[in-house]
Amino acid sequence: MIVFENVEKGYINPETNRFQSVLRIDDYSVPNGRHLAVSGPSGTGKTTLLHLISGLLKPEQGQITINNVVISGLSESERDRFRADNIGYVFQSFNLLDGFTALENVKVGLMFSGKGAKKHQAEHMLDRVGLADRMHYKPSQLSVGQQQRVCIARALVNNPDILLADEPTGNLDPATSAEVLQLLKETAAGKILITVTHEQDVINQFDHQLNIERFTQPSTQEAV
Amino acid sequence: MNLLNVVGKNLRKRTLSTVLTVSSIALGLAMVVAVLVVQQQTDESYSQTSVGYDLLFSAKGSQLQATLNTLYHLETSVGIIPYGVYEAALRDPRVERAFPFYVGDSYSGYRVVGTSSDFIAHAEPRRGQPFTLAEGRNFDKPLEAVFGSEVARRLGHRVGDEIFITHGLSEPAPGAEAHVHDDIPVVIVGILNPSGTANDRAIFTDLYTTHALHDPHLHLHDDAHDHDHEHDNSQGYNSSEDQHDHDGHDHNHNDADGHESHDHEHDHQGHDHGDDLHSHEHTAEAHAAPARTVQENITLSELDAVLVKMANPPAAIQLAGMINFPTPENPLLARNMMRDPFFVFKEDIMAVVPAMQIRNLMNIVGNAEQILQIVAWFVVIVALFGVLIAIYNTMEERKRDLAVMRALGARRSIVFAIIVMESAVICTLGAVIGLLGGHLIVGVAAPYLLDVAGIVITAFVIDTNQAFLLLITLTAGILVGIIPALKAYRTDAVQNLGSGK
Repeated sequence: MIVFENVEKGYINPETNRFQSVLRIDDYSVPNGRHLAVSGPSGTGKTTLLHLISGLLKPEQGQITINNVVISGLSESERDRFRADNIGYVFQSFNLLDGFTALENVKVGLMFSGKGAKKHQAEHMLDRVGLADRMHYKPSQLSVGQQQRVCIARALVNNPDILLADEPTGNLDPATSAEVLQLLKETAAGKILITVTHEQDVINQFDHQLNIERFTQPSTQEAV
Repeated sequence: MNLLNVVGKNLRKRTLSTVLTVSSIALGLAMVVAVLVVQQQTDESYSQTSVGYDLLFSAKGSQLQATLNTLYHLETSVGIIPYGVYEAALRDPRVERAFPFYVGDSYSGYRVVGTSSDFIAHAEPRRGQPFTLAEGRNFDKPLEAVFGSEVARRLGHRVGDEIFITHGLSEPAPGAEAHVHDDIPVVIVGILNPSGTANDRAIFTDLYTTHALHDPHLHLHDDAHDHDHEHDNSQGYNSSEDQHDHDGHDHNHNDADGHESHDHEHDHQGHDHGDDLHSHEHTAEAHAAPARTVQENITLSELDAVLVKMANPPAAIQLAGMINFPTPENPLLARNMMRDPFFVFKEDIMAVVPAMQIRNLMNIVGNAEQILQIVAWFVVIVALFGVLIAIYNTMEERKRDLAVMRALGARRSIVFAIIVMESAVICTLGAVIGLLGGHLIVGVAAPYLLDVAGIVITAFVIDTNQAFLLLITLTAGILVGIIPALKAYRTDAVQNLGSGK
C-alpha cells in the first residue's frame, strides 16, 4: 500500500526565487493490487507523482509510506535500493540502452536489485511478453511495440510490488497500444499499477482513476 | 550482467573512440617500455662486461675507443702494441689473468678475435659467469675457431664447418673485392652458449691464426693437401663467382644465389668431406699439418690489446698511474717506477680501467635516454588527456542512459564507478598492448642493437618495473576517469528520463 500524508512537492521559482508548490496531497492511499490511471493536463505533476513514489524525488514535506517503509525518510542511496527492489518503471520513450540487446536490457534491470534475482528470469520475462525469439535483437532492430514490451519485461524482472508506467502507450499506434496495455495489466496482476496517461481510451480501461488536478496547486493550474 | 559487462558494452558502442584512445595509450607505453628495456639491458650489458677486467693495455689513443674495441667488438683498434706486454703480464705476480687481443679480420661481417684459449676457459664475460660451450670444445691450436652463439645462429654454422676469414673488419663495399684468406681454412671446433654480451657476435681463434692471416708469405697448401671437394654454401662463405687454382688444390666456385656462396670441389688428401651444405668433416690429423706449419712459421709480435685481471684489483689504479702519468722527476720515485716490468712499454701503451670508461659512457648515454624517457612519458600523458576528453565528450549523449540506470535503482556511486571503470579499462588495455608492443619493438630492434652497439637485448623480459608501469597507468586511468565520472554522478535522473526517443 502506498500512503501519502501531507505531502508537498514544489520547486524554487528562478524568477521570484521563492518556493512554488506543484503538488499537495494531504491524505491519499493506493491499496495493494490496485490498477490506477492518473490523468490530467500536461505539466500538472503526473510524472512528478511517479517520481515521488519511486523515490527519485523527495517531497519538501510530509511523508510517503510504501508497504510500511517511509521512503520519504530514506537517504538517496536507500531510496535507490528500495526502488531497485520494489518498483518497476515503464517509460513513454522506452529508454532502452542502445548498444544492448533485448535480453541485456532486461538483465540490467536485475543488476541493482538485492533480491538475488536469477539471470534466467530475464529470459522468462521476455518469453512472457512474447519476445522469446527476439532476445538478442538490439532496440534498433525491434518495432516500437516490441521495444515497449522489452521495457515492460525490464520493469517486471525483479518481481516488484509496484509498477509505474509513464504514458506507456504514448508512442504507439492504437492497435499496438491496446496490446501493450493488455499486457501491462496482465503482467501487473496482483501488483499496484499506476499508469500516467492523457488518453481517454486508456483511462477507460482502468477501474480506478485519479485526476491529478485534485492535488495540483492553484498557481500551477493557472500556469497550465 | 555485471558492471564490467556494462563497461564493455559502453566501450564497444563507441568502438572507434575506444580503439583510438587505447592505441594512443599503447603507443606511449610501448615507447616507455622500449626505452626502459633497452636502457636497463644496455646498462647491465655494458657494466657487467666491463667489471670482469681491471685493466686494459692498448696503444695510446682514445681510452673509450680501446675499451669499446676490446670488450664490445666495436670501433677500430687504437693501434698496435708489442706482444711483450702480454708476456710481461703473464709473468707479473700482480696479474691474476691476462688475455691477449689481436683483431682486424672478420668473417661474414663478424669480427674474428685472436686471443689465447685461456680467454674462453677463464674469462668472465659477466661477473661470475664464465663462457660455456654449447657444442664442441675450446680451440687448442692454430686454424681452429670458437664461434659466439649469435654468429653461429645467424650463419647456421656447426662444429666441424670450415671457414675462410676475410682481412678487414667489415664486409667490402658493393663492387669491391674482399680480401679472403682462402688458402687458410679455419675449422670451427666449438660454439659458445649465449652470454648476453658482445662476445656472442664474435669469433675467437688462436693468435697464430690471426697473425698468419696477416702474413703474406705464408702458404699452407704446399705441405698440406689437395682440395677438390664440392660444397654448396648458401649463406656465409665469402666467395666469388670464379674458378681458380691454388697451389696444390683446385676450387670450383659457383655462386648459387648470387651472394656469398660457392660450390667448390676439393679433394682432400687423406680424408673425406661429407655432402653437408658447408660442413666438412675435418679430422684432427687433417688440420694438424697446416696448424704445425702456422706455428712454426709465425712469430707472435704484436697485439691490439691485453686485458688484465689483477690479483688485487686496487693495484690496477697504481699500475695504470705508472703507465699513464709522466715519469716523476724525483729520482727515487723514478727509480722505483723503472723497476716495474711494464715500465719498458710506458712509451708504447696506455692503461685503461674499462669500468671507468663505461661509467663515463653510460653517463653520457644516460642523458639521451632520460630525454627519450621524458618524451615517452609525455606521449602517455597526452594520451591520458585524450582518454579524459573522449569520455567527457560522451557524457552529454549518455545522460539518458545514466538516468535510466538510476531509475532502475543504480546508486550515484555505481554510475560514477561505471565511468571510472571505462577509463581504467581503456588505460589498462592500452598499457597491456603497449607493454607487448614495447617488447615487440625491442625484439625487432634487437638484431640492429647487437650489430651497432654490441648489446644482446632480450625482448620479452618482464620485471617489476613493468608491473609498476601497469599499476601507474591503471591508477592514472582511474584518476582521469574521475572528472567525467563526477559529471555522471551529478546527472539528474528526473531531468534526463524524459529525453530520448
